[in-house]
Amino acid sequence: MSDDQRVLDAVYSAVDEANLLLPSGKQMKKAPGVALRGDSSPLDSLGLVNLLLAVERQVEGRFGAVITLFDERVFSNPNATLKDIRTLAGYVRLLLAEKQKVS
Amino acid sequence: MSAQALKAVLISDFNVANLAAYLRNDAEPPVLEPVVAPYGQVIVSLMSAHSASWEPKPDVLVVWTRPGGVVPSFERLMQYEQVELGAIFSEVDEFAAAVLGARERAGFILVPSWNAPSHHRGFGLLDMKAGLGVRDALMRMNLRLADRLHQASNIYVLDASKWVEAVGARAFEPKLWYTAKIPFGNDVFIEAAKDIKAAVWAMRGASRKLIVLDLDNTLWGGIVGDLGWENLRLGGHDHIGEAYLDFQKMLRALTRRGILLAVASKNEEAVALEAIEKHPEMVLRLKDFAGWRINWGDKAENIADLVAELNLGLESAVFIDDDPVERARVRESLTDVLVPEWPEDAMLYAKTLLGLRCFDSRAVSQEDLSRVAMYTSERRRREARIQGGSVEGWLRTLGIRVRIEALTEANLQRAAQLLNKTNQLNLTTRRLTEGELLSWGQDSGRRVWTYRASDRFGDTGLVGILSLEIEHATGRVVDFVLSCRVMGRGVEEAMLFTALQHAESVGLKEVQAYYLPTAKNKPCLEFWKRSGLEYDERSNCFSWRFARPYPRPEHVGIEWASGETAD
Repeated sequence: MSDDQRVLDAVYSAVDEANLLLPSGKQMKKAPGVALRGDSSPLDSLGLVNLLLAVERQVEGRFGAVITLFDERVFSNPNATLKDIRTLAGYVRLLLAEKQKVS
Repeated sequence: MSAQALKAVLISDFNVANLAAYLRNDAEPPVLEPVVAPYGQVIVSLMSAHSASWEPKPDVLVVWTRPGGVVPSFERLMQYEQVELGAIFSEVDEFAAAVLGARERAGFILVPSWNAPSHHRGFGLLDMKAGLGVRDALMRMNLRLADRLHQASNIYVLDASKWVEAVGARAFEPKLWYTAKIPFGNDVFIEAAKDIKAAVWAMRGASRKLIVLDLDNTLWGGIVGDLGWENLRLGGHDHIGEAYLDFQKMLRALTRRGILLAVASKNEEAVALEAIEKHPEMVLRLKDFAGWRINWGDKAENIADLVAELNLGLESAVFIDDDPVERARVRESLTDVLVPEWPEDAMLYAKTLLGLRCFDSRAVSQEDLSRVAMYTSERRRREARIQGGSVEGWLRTLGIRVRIEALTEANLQRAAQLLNKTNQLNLTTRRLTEGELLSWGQDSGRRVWTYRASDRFGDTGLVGILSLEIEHATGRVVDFVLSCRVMGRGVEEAMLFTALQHAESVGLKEVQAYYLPTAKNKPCLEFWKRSGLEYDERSNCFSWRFARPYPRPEHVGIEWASGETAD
């Protein structure tokens, strides 16, 4: 399995966790283009916090790396990091590459 | 809110949105509809009589606070200020008084105990020193709170430290705190939601009462039909044998809480029973089982048969079997039976059993404690019935006696338990807390009687409730509740007879009883149809106008407690 897919799987597992907190019918789909912010997103601010925490946890469990998704790099440019599942997974991959956990 | 959903109001000094979400999104019954009171206004919310939270009256209220949130002196102690325990206790008492003040606003109240973050080491080595340590103060605060709240029968302190321990290092989540004012990790809320739902289940009298057990590789290691009872793994100097022994010990311990045990096993009955009686390390013997089905038939059918024999509902039963195929079969066929996933490793059996939340009950009554003995007596009655020929002849040999007592503080707990647990012989399936039942019965024009039954095999305890509401010359039977374990022995006839006897003696011209159908109380309708009262099928109303005396059941001795008479 490619590193990209492993990261995406970790994010999708986090989506499963976050969905436990969302009403049925308003749960997130597991697809790269699903929005994380704005009117088209099923997440409110607490929902986004729950998702990011779950991603951190999944990444730690799967890659053995502690990352933070609550720092200035994320929130200073949210369109690049938190626009949708694809950008979030891309940012996670970048952090893992910095920690030399993926190539 | 859906028709079946129960209203749960959550009051907290922190953001409980995630707990509310877990409670709301769990579709397993009991289904809850959480309402979150304004955040951070604990005392105001508890004391405000006109808050929208109280309309309609919530079924359950959860008051979950951080210790420093409602006990400011504890917050100061966390900052290593010197604080007198007396000052802390005084604030604990104020908080407890506010919770007690809200006791009538909800069906029942759950108060999770206080926790401090495990990463806060307090005074380290000195943290358990009385009058100094943070952890020492916290433990005393929790005990003080539980002690103060104990006086209210509808308030329960939940041990939140179990949730924190179960979650471990992620129990306290600083990122959630700083971003959303949520002190705990979400896994703590998942554990809390399970305990809250178990508590609601218990309040509704829906706790499980019967464990049906497989034998081979469940109660002992090995297959008795192949190995012979002498070669089973049970006890001895063997870690697996010790695990099975411990599992049996815990099962037996549960019988002391009123949980019944039974066996459903695919085996030769004589071989299995011999093992139970002869293996020197067996903790559970035949006398510990309320019944068994040991044959080569379908386990689901055997369990249904066994549960019916014990006059219980399938929703009372838990089935434990090491075989995943048998578990799947029973789970699929008997959806009301709880079939927990069971570990492959026998060393995890006792732990898994102790972790089941389905046995929680709102109180432990004397009847609970002696339930196993009562069911053993019941098995002997059944055996006597088989030998005794006709039902009438058998009933005459039982020597049944019924004692009628008014509802008092002394029998209130058991009466409320019976009212809230009984489904089958229940006229209206009215559910009330202890306080509500006592208060209802104290109003003028209302009587609530309790009925105890005994026979030559033993005392079955408080088994019936009948309440009567009188208006002008008409009495209305509001509650007619009888434990299914004594159904069909004339106790129901005796209850009706005594109520009508009382009604006639105080000059009533008519007594009515409106049957309220539910999915489970058809046996009640059948009894009333047999009772001889006039029945209007359109209104489901039974009535008796005293044109003749209501017949006294011949084989039942009736005794009114002192101070209680028919008139």
